[in-house]
Amino acid sequence: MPEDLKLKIADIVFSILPTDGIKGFSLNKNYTPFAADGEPDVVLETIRNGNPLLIKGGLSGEKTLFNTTLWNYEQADGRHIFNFSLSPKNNRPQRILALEPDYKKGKIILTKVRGLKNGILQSPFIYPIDQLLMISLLPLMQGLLVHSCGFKYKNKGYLFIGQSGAGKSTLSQIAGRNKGVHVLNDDRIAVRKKQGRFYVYGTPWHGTAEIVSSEKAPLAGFFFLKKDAKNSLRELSVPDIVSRLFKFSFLPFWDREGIASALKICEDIAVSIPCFEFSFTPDDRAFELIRKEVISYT
Amino acid sequence: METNKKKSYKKPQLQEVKLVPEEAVLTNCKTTASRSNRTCTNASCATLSANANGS
Repeated sequence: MPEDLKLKIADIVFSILPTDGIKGFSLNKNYTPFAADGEPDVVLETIRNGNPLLIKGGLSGEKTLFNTTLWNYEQADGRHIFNFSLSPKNNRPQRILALEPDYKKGKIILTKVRGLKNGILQSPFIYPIDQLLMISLLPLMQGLLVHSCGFKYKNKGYLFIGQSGAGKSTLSQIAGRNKGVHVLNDDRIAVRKKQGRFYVYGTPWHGTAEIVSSEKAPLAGFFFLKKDAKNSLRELSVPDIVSRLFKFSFLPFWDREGIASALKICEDIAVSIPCFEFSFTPDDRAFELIRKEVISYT
Repeated sequence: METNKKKSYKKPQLQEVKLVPEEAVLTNCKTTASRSNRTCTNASCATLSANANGS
């Protein structure tokens, strides 16, 4: 019997089961550090050539609630249905992610099989299926996926937040040159509260520097990036931190409960972890300032 | 000594948060595939192709 693929991301174990002619999976290299064992928290079955109508069969009251250029979200009988890469001809999706109301059990349905060689499916967990599942789950598990880079230094985690072009990959490379610094990711970091403490986790979803790590560290400080001609730190008010953190988190806009939890987590982080706006230059002086002014005191 | 000084009233302020839509809803990927509108063949990544549909 084909074995399932297990991935552990942010201490959440995903089990992906091959069925229906799929003998196994191959992993893209950004996922290999996340292959793991353990009791799964989320179980996904892959179904090949599934008829979306049959799969969705019996689901009454289907309604598209969220629509983008790449995917849409429907809800039917409390179940979450994400349709990906809709054909302009017949609106038929290439893949479907159908999840139970708690997001912990579901199916990945391949209506158009691509990347299947000798029964081995390449990357069942591809963009944006993986991240949409993660951002739906995390707020319900005391967590957030944040648009940021982050590193671990002396067993503490530091998070640098900003949108595309803010300098996350550049800063990751600068920090990574320093002895003892372990970069967790240069574009997406998961934050979770466990046993009353916030942790930062590397994820497989890298930016242009292509840095991934499956390690974690207790969160000791976080920063909002601002490119500048000199390096400086500025304290921010709690409401400012909450609104910025909310903005730079990936949010489940289709889930009222998830959005409420995400906002609460932003507030919780803002009041419990040191935070600054970090104006920085793209060179070694940036890391030096963080090391002297923040790392020494946290 | 006067200890019960009243805190001055500050009018609540509405703060507008601007989102980058394509980043916020995960429709852009930093791979060649998403830019060229094809399924990704980059060994380190994979992306479903983006067909123009929806808003």
